[in-house]
Amino acid sequence: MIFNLLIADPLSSEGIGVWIAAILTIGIFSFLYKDNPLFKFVEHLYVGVGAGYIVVVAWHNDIATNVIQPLKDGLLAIQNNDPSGWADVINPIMACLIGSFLFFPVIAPRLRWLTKYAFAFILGAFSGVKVGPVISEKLITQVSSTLNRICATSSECAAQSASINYTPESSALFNAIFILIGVLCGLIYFFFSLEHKGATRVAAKTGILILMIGFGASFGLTVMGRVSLLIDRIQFLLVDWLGLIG
Amino acid sequence: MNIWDKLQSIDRRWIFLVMFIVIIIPLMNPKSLDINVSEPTRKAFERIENVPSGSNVLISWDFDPGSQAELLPTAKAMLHQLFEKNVNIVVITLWPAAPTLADTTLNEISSLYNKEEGVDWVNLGFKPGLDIVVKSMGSDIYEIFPADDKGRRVENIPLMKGIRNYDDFNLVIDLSAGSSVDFYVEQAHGAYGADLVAAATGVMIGDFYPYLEANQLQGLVGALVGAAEYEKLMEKAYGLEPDKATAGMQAQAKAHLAIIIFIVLGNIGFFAKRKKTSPKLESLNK
Repeated sequence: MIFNLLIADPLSSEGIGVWIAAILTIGIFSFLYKDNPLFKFVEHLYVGVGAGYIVVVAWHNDIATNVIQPLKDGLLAIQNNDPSGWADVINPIMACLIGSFLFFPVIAPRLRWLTKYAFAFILGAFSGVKVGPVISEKLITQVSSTLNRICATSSECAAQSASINYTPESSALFNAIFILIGVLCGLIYFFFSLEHKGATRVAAKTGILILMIGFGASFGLTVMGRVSLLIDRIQFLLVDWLGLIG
Repeated sequence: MNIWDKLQSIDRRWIFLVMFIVIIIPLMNPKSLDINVSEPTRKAFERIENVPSGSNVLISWDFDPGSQAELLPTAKAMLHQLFEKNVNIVVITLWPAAPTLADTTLNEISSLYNKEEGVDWVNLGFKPGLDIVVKSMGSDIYEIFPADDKGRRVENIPLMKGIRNYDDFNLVIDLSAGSSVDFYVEQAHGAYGADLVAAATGVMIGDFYPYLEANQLQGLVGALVGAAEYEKLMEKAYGLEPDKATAGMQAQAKAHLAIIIFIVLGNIGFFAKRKKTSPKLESLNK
């Protein structure tokens, strides 16, 4: 065991940051024992600093570069009799105008009906961007991939399609069939137009079993992720703050 | 109160204390751990190895300090690999709290390879809009990112001179703590045919395996275990000393063992208590 205690110097430029971070980390961990004023202070500090930080980042990275700068450029171009400057002026003004409608329920309740136009614009734009690619990449590609896995285990079948790589391993056929059965049974479980009796019942039961295994794996991965966060904080306290590990 | 009742009413603070102890002990007593590299991580490493020297790679830095435990070790290992290969790096982010973390890490690692900001790498910063940003980069990056993180006009940055859209990148890497991999698969890969490699947190990784199976992703590095695997590959290929992920894996293994023991004990206590109380419940029903 290494006991080379090198606590970060609180008077150095780096050390003061490490000390503040260590005290705040311990403040958050103190909630594990019970709720206390230090935890409340750190919690409020985190929310406040986070909100303030995001406002500053949004201003510098978005408003300044995508609104103010184009406006300046556009006005300069119009001054120089360049008609292309109008697009640079009108686009950011329209975006800000539509965006400002979202604040009306709070700042001008009488004009709150304008909010629905902002939402209509957002929903319309996102739907237009999302619908096509989701159908193509999440539905069609995934369905064809599920079937391609079986095709890939046969050299003749794979040879007919340039996009499918022949997979000769015997485990590949088992995996392919297992995934296909899993997908079909999972879909049957959510198929309510037919009463779950006989073969349909068996398929639905298999489907829910596979879904449960999937949820279990997902929960296990979540636990793993949370443990990783704890390890990182303990590493910070032991290495960066206390200098217990070299 | 017998042992089964005690198991059911154990103070959760004892569990927290045990978790702290089982994590601290392996961190204080580091021993070598045999890490087997999984196929998704190997694919990611090999795809980045195949990026030609002098070409451009886009990194979408979609995680903030809240997820750095799982993703920062992978990000660092990948940056080492890209700088070793003399690849130009353009960084963007869809997360508002990410630009500073990205900047700090890029400065730290680029200085080891004498790489110059604006010439060898650039951080274009954060832009809100998620899918819209990812889609817009397919037509013209200059429109959605007119300036970099420090306010410099993109057309004045030497590295950005020959870059306009995904066609100018050999590879897109998404370091994702959320669902941004979905956006890149749908928009960058689906609509523009960009090659994608992703690294994701443990919470999200399960959602992205189907993309790997369907060749929509060229490689996938998952959580701290994926980062440790990547560090091992970097040690083998470039002699890079393993970092925090490898050190953390021993603690992770012990913590998982403790959680499994708690679950088993909890279930034994639950079923034993139910067996004991069930006759009473039956008499109540009568």
